[in-house]
Amino acid sequence: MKKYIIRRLILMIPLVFGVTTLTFALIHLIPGDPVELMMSNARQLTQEEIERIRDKLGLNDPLPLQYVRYLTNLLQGDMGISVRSRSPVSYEIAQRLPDTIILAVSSIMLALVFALPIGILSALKRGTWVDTAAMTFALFGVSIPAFWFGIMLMLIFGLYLDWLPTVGQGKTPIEFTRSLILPSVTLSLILLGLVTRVARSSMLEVLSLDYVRTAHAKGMGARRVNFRHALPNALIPILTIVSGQFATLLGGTVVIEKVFGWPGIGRLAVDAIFARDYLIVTNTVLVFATMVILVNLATDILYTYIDPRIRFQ
Amino acid sequence: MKFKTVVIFAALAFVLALSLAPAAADGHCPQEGGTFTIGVDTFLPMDPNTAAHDWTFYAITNINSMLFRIESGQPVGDLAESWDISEDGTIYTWHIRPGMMWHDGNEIFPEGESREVTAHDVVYSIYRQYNDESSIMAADLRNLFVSAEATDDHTVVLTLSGPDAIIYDKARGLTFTAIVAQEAIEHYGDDYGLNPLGSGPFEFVSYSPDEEVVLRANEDYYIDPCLDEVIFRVMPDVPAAMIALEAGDIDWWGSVTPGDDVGRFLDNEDMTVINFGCPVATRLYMSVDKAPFDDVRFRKALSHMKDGEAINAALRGPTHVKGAGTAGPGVAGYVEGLYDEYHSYDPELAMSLLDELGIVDSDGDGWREMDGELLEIPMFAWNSDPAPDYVAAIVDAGAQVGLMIRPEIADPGTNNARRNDGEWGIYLGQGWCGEGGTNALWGRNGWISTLGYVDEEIFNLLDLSAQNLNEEEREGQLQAATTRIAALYFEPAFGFFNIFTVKNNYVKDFFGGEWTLNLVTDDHNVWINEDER
Repeated sequence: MKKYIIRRLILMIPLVFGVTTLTFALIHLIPGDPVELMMSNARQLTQEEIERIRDKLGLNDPLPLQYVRYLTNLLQGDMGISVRSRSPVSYEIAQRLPDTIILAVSSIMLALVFALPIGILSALKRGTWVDTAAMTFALFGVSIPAFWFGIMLMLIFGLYLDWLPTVGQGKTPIEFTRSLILPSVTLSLILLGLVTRVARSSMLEVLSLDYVRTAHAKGMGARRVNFRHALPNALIPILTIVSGQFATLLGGTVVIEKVFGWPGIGRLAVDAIFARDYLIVTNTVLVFATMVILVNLATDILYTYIDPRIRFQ
Repeated sequence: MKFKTVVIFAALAFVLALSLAPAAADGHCPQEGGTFTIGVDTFLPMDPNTAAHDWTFYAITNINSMLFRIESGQPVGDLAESWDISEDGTIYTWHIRPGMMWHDGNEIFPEGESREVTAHDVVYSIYRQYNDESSIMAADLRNLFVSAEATDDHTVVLTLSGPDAIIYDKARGLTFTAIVAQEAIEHYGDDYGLNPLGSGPFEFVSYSPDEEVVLRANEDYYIDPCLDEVIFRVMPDVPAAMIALEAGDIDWWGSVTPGDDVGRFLDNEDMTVINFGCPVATRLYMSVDKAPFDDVRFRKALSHMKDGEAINAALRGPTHVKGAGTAGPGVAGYVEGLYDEYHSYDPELAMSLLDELGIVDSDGDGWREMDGELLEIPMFAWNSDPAPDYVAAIVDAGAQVGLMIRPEIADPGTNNARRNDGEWGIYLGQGWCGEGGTNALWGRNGWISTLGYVDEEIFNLLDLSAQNLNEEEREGQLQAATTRIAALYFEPAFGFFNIFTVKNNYVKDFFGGEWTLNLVTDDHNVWINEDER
């Protein structure tokens, strides 16, 4: 197992390098000038001023030179400076990453707490009104646009009922928790629909297997069969889906972050693409890629705990 | 004994009442304390050299002292108590307010160990901006700059090579020269914008990117701020921000309010809609150095084929302002009646001009051809509201006169790149408020010069006006430039739109932001009426 993990981690290096190189090239292929995009209503620049700033920021240097400079700095632990904010890229990412992780983890937890019981119950009560209601709920979850649902929650709980804050993260842990509720509920709804459906189908598949029938035939209690024998085997596909979604969430959930003013890495990346903030884009992709690889590795390791038959060579 | 006690208490009460009376009389702070939460759509680190975004200067202008502030379009003293200008307009002598202290209780100046802000700090700040090639210091000021010198601790002499008439312009000149402490710049280096330090009415407390900036009142400022705290809350989603404003989670929405919401808030008695006072134009640019745009008749046809005013009114709602030209009503250089003279809706005239040019529908398919080939014109615009709707309206107007216009919607960066490359077509444009904006857009090396907008007469008029301190003459030169631009280019106009912000009515003594934000000045001291909140 240890060897397997080390091998996977070593393989990560060329993969991340490839992703970074490709991103650096692609973002520079998109037409547009970061300096012009800095301009706002109050700061209006002439062509002469734009050229002066471009020169100073090294944006007029040949692309290979810019790339070598980027790589050299990266190897020394320096991700460079954001053209837009003029602050270190590592700072920009580090400031937002914890918020992204908190939002992702809380949404996943929330989704799992509701989706697993609903999905399992739906499978156990297949064809009944419970199943229909659960699947309608899941359909609602996967099909509702997140930005609309978020705005509706804000209107109801923030404006009309005045129970929860519409923006900000507050100063105390309680205020922070209160501010987390609306974005995480909004985000979890999408996951909830997906996980409920996967949990149901996975459970149904396992329930139809021979060993489950044998267990029932031996006179084992339904609860023991369902939860002791069927559920662990049904968890593998659920874990695959959840880890995939978790990796996606760590890449940021732009819509939710935007609606709730939540400072996340996804919003940072998207804003950087529009602002042609090349180093932010390249480095956020670097971070995304690393996180996806690490989450996948963690998922593979978790498989071995859920199903002891799985062994890595 | 009892009587004596009563007398002592009565005397004390009288003395106390007397001591409180002046504050109540001048109404300085009817209520002290509270947090003023400002919603903005974007916020960047607060280094005045590099902070390119408008709303970031809301914070900078409260953390840092400025030499002067702009209030209702006029410069008023801040760090400079007063100033003199030489007769030829090239020497500015700024008299620095004594006793202004740098914020303390931070890494640079521990509590009680601050020092006075002096003329040397002002000189340092000006040179820091001037010497930094990547700073956004306006080229017009940079080009005229000769020297800045501290003749004593409280006097700065700024020498220019020629007079600068737009030195006070809200978008140019010295308006964005915030005074910084050399110790802080040297200590923080590139991270200064994350740890700004100044001498303004509010001290920097914390900055969380894409989330919030927190400032607290500077008790050592020469005016006591009524507010305890100011928070800038970043809210990129405008509909969500409007809900937060109504819920009272933000007290003022400081970024641009969409037209529909302006209409809604105008009817809301708990809110006040505030006009920025600098109408912004929406217009079309085109490749004026390439056929058929190089013929004024074609440009004229484009201008008359569309009902610009109706389109603008529909898309901008109550923010729409009728007009045309380089500047809107209330801004230097505005020319009344320009819209009716050059841009009125007259599709018949548009069609006759196209016929005259030989751009006709010869094969009867409903679309006009030029030199025997279908004339299909790309129209470039950015991909956020309401730009695509303007494009749709122009495509429709073109179809009415037989001109095929092909929409090319892209993100602003791609759009800018096309313009820089001088790609042939029509471009939707928006922005450029004020006199400085007029220069940056239409002046020498202006933003649209790549499309062929190069006319020496216009450049000269704008150069002359930028250095003319006689207001009447300058206005005449600007109006002449505006009229020449209209007659020469016929750049099809839709009209202007006002930028509005919205505040809750419990925010008092607040007159709005004008790119910079003055919360505490000699004339204003913003406070929150907690009873009304």
